[in-house]
Amino acid sequence: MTRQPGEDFLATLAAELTAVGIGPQRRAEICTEVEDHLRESVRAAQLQGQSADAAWRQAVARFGAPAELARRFAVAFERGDSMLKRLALLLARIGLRSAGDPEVSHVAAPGRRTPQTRMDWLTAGIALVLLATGGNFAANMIREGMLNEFGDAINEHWLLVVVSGVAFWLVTGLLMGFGQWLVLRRWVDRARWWILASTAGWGGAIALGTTAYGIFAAELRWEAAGIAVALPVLFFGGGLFQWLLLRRWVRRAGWWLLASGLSWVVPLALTFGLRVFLESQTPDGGYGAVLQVLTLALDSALRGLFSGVALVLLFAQAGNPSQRLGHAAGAVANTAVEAVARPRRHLALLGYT
Amino acid sequence: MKGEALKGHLDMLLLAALAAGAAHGYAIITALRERSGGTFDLPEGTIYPALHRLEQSGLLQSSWTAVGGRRRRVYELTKRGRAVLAEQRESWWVFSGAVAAVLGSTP
Repeated sequence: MTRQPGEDFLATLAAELTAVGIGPQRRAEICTEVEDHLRESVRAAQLQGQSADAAWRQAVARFGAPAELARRFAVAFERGDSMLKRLALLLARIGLRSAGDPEVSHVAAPGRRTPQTRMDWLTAGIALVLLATGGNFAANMIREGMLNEFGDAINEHWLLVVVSGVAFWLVTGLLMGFGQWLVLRRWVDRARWWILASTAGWGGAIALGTTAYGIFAAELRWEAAGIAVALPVLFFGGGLFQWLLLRRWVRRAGWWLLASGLSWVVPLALTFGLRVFLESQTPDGGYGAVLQVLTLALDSALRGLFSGVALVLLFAQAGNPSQRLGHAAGAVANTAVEAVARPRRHLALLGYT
Repeated sequence: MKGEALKGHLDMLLLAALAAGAAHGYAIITALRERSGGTFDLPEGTIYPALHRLEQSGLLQSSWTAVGGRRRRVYELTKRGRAVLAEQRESWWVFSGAVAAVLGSTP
């Protein structure tokens, strides 16, 4: 079955609207409106004796080039929005318009590297640093607050460890979810649910896993059972709610459960090995604060890379090479977010067992 | 009519096209063309972004209806849009009257 010229035009227009940063709802509304216009134009032209093909071509031609039309819509919305809304949109956009778009990618089309695109990347860099700083600060505030409140008791009573761990990972999950949402929002509608899924997944997994371990190991003195119950919960739990969302967006979403688990276990193991090695290389066996931060940053970067690549692979199943370029940029952006946004004390929290 | 000459007047023309009542984009474009005797045969690529801009500015509001199984966006003037149209009409009559007076006095 041959495609009508209008279908190609609408598909291209949708991609161009995405490229200029117009969100899913507005995009859908514009395309619906344009399609209605095209169909009415064609119907009117056919009533005047034109062939269907000629009528479609004429109707499409009157809209002009999709890229120019999309640019005009973008200008129209920018002019109409209030300063506050424009600022909010700018922060929300956060520069990642250049990454992860399945249909049109600035990365895949060098001709699109406009000053606006470069400005977006600059905005992204600044915003990510601010985001990371804020996230680190919030997470550390929670942990430090609990340490000050309970002192050494926090490491002696497992329930306190659970509470501090859950609070800590809720912030971490929120932050990680936000970082990945910045990329995902270019691929799917309603991507904002990813933030909630990440927060609930990581908070819930830590709550269940550490509570189960605490009950078995601390209360029942059966550590092996505690580990046996806690490990699968911690391994798969973080990505559980994310998987429920991914099922709606991609095929083979089940792989995300494995990838999500590996994305924190493998970096954790690698950086733990590095930490042991570095400690063995220092004369007093000490572990400098700078090296500690560096290994934690490496852990975060690897974690971001693992999860980002997994998302890229899942979303790229039906993609062409240019799409994969965009996705790769998404993975890099995701890695950047994770590398700077992870709170520093997670190893200690996970290591209390 | 050249696009350059139309600059600055497009918003007023769109508001005026909707003064009689709500209409969708296709009807607005048709009305502009027919009421101007074919002079304002404006491309869709110009009209639709302008309609959205006017809506963003609060001069128009839109709603969705269903026609023949298709969703259709319909625009209408807001209270503020009517006020702005009245102002622009007034300015236009003053301006065009002055231009006509000057042109009319030229040999």
